[in-house]
Amino acid sequence: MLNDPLLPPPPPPSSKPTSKPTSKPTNTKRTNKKPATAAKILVTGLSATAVLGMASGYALAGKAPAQQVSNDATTANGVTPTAEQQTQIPLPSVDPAITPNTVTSSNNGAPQVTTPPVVQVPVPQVTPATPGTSNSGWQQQQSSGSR
Amino acid sequence: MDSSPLTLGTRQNRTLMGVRCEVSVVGGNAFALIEEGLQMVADLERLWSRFIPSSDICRLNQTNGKAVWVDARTVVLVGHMQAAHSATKGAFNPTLLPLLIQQGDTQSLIDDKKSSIPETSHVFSSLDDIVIRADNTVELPVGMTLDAGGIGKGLAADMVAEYLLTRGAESVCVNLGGDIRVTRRNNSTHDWPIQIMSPSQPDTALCTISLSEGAVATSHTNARLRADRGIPQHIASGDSFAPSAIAASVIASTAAWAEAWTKYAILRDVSLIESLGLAAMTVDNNSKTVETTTWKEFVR
Repeated sequence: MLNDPLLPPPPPPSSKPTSKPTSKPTNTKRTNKKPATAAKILVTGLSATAVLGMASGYALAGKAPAQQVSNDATTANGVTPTAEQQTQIPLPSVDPAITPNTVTSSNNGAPQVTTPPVVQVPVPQVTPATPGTSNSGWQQQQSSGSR
Repeated sequence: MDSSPLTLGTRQNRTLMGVRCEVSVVGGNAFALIEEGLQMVADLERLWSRFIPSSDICRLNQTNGKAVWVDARTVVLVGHMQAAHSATKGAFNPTLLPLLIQQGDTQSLIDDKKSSIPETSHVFSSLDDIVIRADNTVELPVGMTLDAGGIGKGLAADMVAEYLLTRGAESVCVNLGGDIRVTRRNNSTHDWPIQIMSPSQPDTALCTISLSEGAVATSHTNARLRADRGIPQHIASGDSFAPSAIAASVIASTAAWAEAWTKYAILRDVSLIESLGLAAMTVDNNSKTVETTTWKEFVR
């Protein structure tokens, strides 16, 4: 019934009497100071924890056992690595700046550069073709010396 | 009601690898497959052209003995080069680029791109020292350059035809400037008639053969009229053999092999080719033809 048009309009807010007008600034100062201090303590704590965590993580990673790292260049053009690629033989004669060698880390932490083995590319043997029977039609082709 | 199956097919062509590339497909989503096939040839051209500096072949030719990482398809190409060079006893030789450039064959026949190789490049009589590693790196001996040329076109035709069959085509024909590969599904009866054109009269067919599975390649010494540019011969020879014919066509299981054996037929004869069960026909300067007995099995 607050919006009943038959009732007189409510008095404006300014007409209400105010109580304790002088004590408000003092109370606001006190209540604002405490959360700011807590936030500072919280941020400092979190930062210290994060720094300690990262330092521990890096320290542990440095002591982790060696794992093989695949070279990104091997799959740069979508080429599937072959099974032979897993085989490691020491042959550092190729310029490592050009050849995407496989990089490994030994247990003593010293990186070693190895070169994948030489492979023989499988090529299908040549065999006779199979004759057809047609001698004309839309599909007729012409074989000539590179036109 | 008994009715014969309706054969639907289509073909499209585009200038690729410096020649007219035509892909024909029967069955499947022919238009989409043809576009895939043409795109695949364009990709292979970017890898194997001697006129594109960023191609694998150009990078290999410029490194002067250092290892180069190349695309897996380029590794397959180099492997085919080695196998073909060995099988043809050196008649097929992909290291003749220095000779071709010396004769003036430096510019693309379809645009103004030029081919350049190190001055120290020379012809090799053996490909045994090419090193291919499992990580797709290739090392050419110092001074060696490769030219994909005809075997690149043949291998491209093989790769595209076989790929389109796996993509749902019933029968496929890929023609790259006369190097033709056809293939079909086992249950298909489709085959492809092919005219073998005269080297001296380009609009005249010497005969028509028919293939259901396999390839035919034709080479001749003045391909694409290089003589008009003052280039004496398209097919260089690294040895002392004078060509015994001016043109040769070979029918084999794949276009890469057929193309390689055409070089042997032009520079030597057809006897070794026949002993392998392959079919060949050569044409000499006087338009006289020599055929293997197996050649007649394909003539229609």
